[in-house]
Amino acid sequence: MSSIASVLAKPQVAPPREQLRRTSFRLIPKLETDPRVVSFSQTVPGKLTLLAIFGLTLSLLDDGWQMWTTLALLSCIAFLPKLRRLLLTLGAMLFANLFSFEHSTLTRLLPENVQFSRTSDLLWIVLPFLLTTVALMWVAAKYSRSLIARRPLLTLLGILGLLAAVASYAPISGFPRYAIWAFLLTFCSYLWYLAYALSDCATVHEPKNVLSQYAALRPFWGFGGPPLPKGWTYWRRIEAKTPEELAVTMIKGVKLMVWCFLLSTLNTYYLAFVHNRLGIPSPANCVNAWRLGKPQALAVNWLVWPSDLLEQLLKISVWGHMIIATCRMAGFRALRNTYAPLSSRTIAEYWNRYYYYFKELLVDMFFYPTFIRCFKRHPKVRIFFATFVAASLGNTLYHFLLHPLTALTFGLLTAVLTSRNYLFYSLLLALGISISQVRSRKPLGSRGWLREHITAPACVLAFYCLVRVFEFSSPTVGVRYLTFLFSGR
Amino acid sequence: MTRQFVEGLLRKKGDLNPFSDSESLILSGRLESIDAVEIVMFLENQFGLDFRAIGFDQGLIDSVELIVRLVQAHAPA
Repeated sequence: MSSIASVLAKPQVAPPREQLRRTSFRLIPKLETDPRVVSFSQTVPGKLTLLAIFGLTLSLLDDGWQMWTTLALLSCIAFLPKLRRLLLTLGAMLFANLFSFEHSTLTRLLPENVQFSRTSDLLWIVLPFLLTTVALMWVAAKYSRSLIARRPLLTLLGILGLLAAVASYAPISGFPRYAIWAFLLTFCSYLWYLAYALSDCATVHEPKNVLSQYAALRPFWGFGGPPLPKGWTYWRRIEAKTPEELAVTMIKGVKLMVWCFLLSTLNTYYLAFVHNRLGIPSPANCVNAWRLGKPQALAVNWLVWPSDLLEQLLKISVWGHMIIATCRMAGFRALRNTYAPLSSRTIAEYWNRYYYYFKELLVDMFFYPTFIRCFKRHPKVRIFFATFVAASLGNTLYHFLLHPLTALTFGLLTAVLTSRNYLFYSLLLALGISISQVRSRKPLGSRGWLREHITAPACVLAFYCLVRVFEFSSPTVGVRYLTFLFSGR
Repeated sequence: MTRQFVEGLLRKKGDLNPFSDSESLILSGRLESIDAVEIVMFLENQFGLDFRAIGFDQGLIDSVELIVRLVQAHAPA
């Protein structure tokens, strides 16, 4: 069997996530299964063609220096795949903006006659942060039984908690206070990337190679949100190892970017139709109008939730696909972040398909550590509890840490208390996902077509629409609003 | 036994495609996190593995070959 055929015979032919789509219509054909296309893609003109199509599509979605730098890096990687890791590290250095705090609200912490100084920020914030990360990773790699190695996330959260307490309550002012908050902000923004890095260092036990983790701390294809896709060890496992694999991966990257562009165009028209033509407001405005005693028409109150769900799906698809498409062009066989969520038959399945890498973050950082420790003699309780912890506590913690400046503006305690509404929403979500997770899974195709393709997905989407009410309101307001929805009063 | 168990998991998902012992199962997307959990419970029950002591990473059980290697390295005597 030729090497191209052996590559094409691999799971990308029909992994289970694509099983549903196997016989259905494809807008973008599976070019990566055509040996002629794969052969051509390994040649210089082929790579240039792929890069050109990718670059053109990317330029329609994004512009600015980041796009050109990304294309330059991808071009180098395409023609010099052996230098991939070096180029990834270079990309991380180019895109890392470790001084991003300088123009934020932090500057009001400085005395009036003091402007931030790049030199002071470098010496007292950026360098200490970099040294801290190196030290943590080195300890995790060298001492596999240490707390940092065994419980990396717990260690990082402990450091963060200490920083937050000092920043909020220590009697300091002026530049020292600004520096601690800036360090905390930077630490927060890299927290989940560091968690993966420490886990990787603990697993691989190579202290002299900790610096290779930096490529994954700030991937040039996208940053912010959960690490896409995960950390350095995961990247190594999904890296294209042969020219054929690289060609297939790049073709899939181009396809995904084209699909991203189509979704982005659809999103533009969808938003115009929903908000301008139909006049459907945002969910928050809808709930607020009802709270103020001036509710929108009942039909509008019903329509707002599914229309917003679709809007969020389109938004997250465009965002995630752009990142993963670029990642694939760099030679990594990453799974999509969003994959056919509207075909989900269970609540747990939707959770997996909608925001895959966020789910994986919660699974890696919360689910597995809980699962291997708790309720080992009761399988269903074990799965339920671990799922519940991940989808409630993990979810709430993640979203709380997205806005560290809330603690600066309103105080740490107030910032924690304002998360209680999101915690309630997470608890409901977690309950649904956990119950769905432990229910027996019927084999695909065992229920009727109508039930599998229409009824079940409709029920799943209805759940996510209704539970989302609590993301915009307190528990009591949410219950009252739902009562209004169902009773009309 | 391990291979049969993995085949059973794939069959439940409607995935009847063949796979080799070295082929990626989880990282390729053929199996999901919940399936990894079932593999963990299978290894605990059949071979007495203690993942709390070993530490857990999906990469340890990403293929039949890796699972067998894990069992050989950590199963109690």
